[in-house]
Amino acid sequence: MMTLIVVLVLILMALLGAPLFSVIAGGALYGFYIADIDLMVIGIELYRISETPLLMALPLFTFTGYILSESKTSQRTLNLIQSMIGWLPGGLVIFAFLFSAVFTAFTGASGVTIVALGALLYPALIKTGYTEKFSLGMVTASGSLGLLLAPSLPLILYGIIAQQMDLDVHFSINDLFIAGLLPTALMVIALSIYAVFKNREFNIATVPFDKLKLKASIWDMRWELPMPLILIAGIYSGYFAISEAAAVIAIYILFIETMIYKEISLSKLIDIIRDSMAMVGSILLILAVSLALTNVFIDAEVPSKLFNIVQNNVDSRVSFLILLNIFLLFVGAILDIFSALVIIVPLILPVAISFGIHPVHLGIIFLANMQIGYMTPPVGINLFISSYRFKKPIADIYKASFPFVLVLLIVLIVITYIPSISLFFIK
Amino acid sequence: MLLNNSRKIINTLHILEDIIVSLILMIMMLFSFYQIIMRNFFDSGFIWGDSFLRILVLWLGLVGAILASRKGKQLSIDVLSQFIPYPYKSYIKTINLLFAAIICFIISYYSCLFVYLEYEDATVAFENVPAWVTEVIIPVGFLIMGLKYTAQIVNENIE
Repeated sequence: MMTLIVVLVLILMALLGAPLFSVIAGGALYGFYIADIDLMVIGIELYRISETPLLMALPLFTFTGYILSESKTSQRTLNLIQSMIGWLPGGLVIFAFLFSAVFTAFTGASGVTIVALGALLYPALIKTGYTEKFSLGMVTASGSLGLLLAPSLPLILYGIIAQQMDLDVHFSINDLFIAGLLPTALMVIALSIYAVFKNREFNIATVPFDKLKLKASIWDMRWELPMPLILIAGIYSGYFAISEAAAVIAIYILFIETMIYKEISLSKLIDIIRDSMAMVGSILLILAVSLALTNVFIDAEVPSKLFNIVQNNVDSRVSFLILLNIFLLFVGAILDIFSALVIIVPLILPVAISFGIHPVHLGIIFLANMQIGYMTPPVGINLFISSYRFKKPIADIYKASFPFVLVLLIVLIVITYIPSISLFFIK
Repeated sequence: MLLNNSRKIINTLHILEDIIVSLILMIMMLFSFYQIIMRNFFDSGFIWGDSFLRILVLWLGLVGAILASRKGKQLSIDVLSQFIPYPYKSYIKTINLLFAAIICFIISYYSCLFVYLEYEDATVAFENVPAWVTEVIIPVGFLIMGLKYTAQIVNENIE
C-alpha cells in the first residue's frame, strides 16, 4: 500500500517536471529502504560511473558534436552536397539524407542537425524547386536519421546499459556499430525513393556537373572529411578503443576548428564546454541513478515478474515484437531518448532475450522506434525544433513530416521482423 | 545589498565551475591521447591510466550535473505543466525544486557516510591514491546541487 503511494507520487513528480534524476533516485532510495539495505549503498552505486570503461566516449563525443555544430562545418557540408549532386534528379535530397545521417551520428541526436544543417538545407531545397511542405518534412525527418550510426550517443549508451546488465548473450560495442549500418542504409534508401517518386512531377532544377566546384568544396572540407575515417580505421585496426577514438577525434576537431578554420574563439569554446558538459552531466546522473534503481528492481524480482505477465499474455516472438513496437512508439512520443534508454532498456531487455531476441537486434529496434518518436506528438523534439527554427506552426510541421514518418514506419517493420538485417555481419 | 553580494558570490562560483569543468575535460583528452601514443609507439604508459580516466569521467559527470542544475537544464519529462494555469505554475516549480533539493541532500548525506567509511578503511583507488579522495566529489557534488536548488526556490519566491 505504502509502496503504491510512493510510486504514484514519484510518477506524478516526474510528470510535473521534477528533474528526472531526482525522481529515479527517490525510487531507488525508497527501494533500498524497504529492502532494509543501508542507504549508504547509494554512494557505491554512484561510484559505479567510474567503473564503466566505455563511458569516457560520452563526454568526448558530445564535446566534438557541440564544436562541429558551432563551427561552419554545416555550411561546408552543404556546399559539398550541392556540388556533388546538381546533375542528378533528386540528388540534392538523396545526399542531404546521407550527410544528415553522418552529421547526426557525430553531433548526437539532440536536434542539432535541424538547427545547423537543416537550416541551410531548407532554403537550398526551396531554391532547387521543392515545395515548402516537402522541404520542411524532409529537414525535420533528417534530424534524427543517423541515430543508428556510430558514434551516436544513444547507440553507445544502449551498449553501456546492456553491458552493465550481466546478460547471457555477449556482444561488443563494435557489434552494435556494425548492426546499425544496414538499417540506416535502408532508411536512407527508402526515404530517397519516396523523395524521388514524390517529386517526379515537379520541375526540379538540375545543374550540369562541375568538376572544379566539387574539387573546391572537397578541398574546403579537407580537414573534416578524414574524421569518419579516423574513427573507422582506428577502431577496426585495433590501434585504439572506442573511448580512445573519442579522445583522438575530440582533440583533432578541437585543433582544426580553433587553429586551422579559426571559427571557435576562446570564449565560445568555454560556452561550448559548459553547455556540452551540462548535457553530459545530466545524462550520466540519470544513468547512475537508473543503474541503482535497476538493482532495486532485480532484488524485487521485477523483471521476472514482468516476464511472467508478458509470457502469460503473449505466446509468440512475433506478437511480442508487435507489442514491443507499439509500446516503444508510445514511449518515444512521451520520453526523450536518454531517459527512455535508462528507464526502459533494463526492464525490457531480459524479457526480450527470453523471447529469443538478440540484444543487438533489440537495440536497433529500440533506437529505430525512438527515432520515429522524435517526430511524433506530443513530445517529438524534432517537431518543436523545426517549428521554432523555421517559424512555422507546429501543425504544419506535423503534416509535412507525416509521409516521412510513414516511410520510416515501414522500414521499422522490416528491420523489426527481419533480424538478419541487423545481425548480418555479426556472428 | 545582500542580494547584490550574493549575486557576486554566485557569479564567482559559476566562473569557478566553468574553469574546473574545462580543466577536467582538457586533462581527460590530453592524458588519454598521451596513453595511446605511449602504448602504440613506445610500448609503455601508466598502468593506472585507465582507472584515472574513469575517475575523471565521474568527476566530469558530477561537475557537469552541477552545471546542469544551474538553469533547469536537467532532463525532465514535463508533460503536465503546460496544462497548468499560470498562478499555479510557480507553486509546481517550487515543489519540483524542493523535491530535487531534498533528494540531493539525502544522497549527499548518505554518500558522505560511505566516503567516511572508505576513509576509515583506507581503501586504495590506484597506486597510493586513497579511494575517498576520488569519491569525495559525490557528497560534495550533491551538496552543491541541493544548495543550488534551494537558492532557486528562494529566487522563485522573492521575484
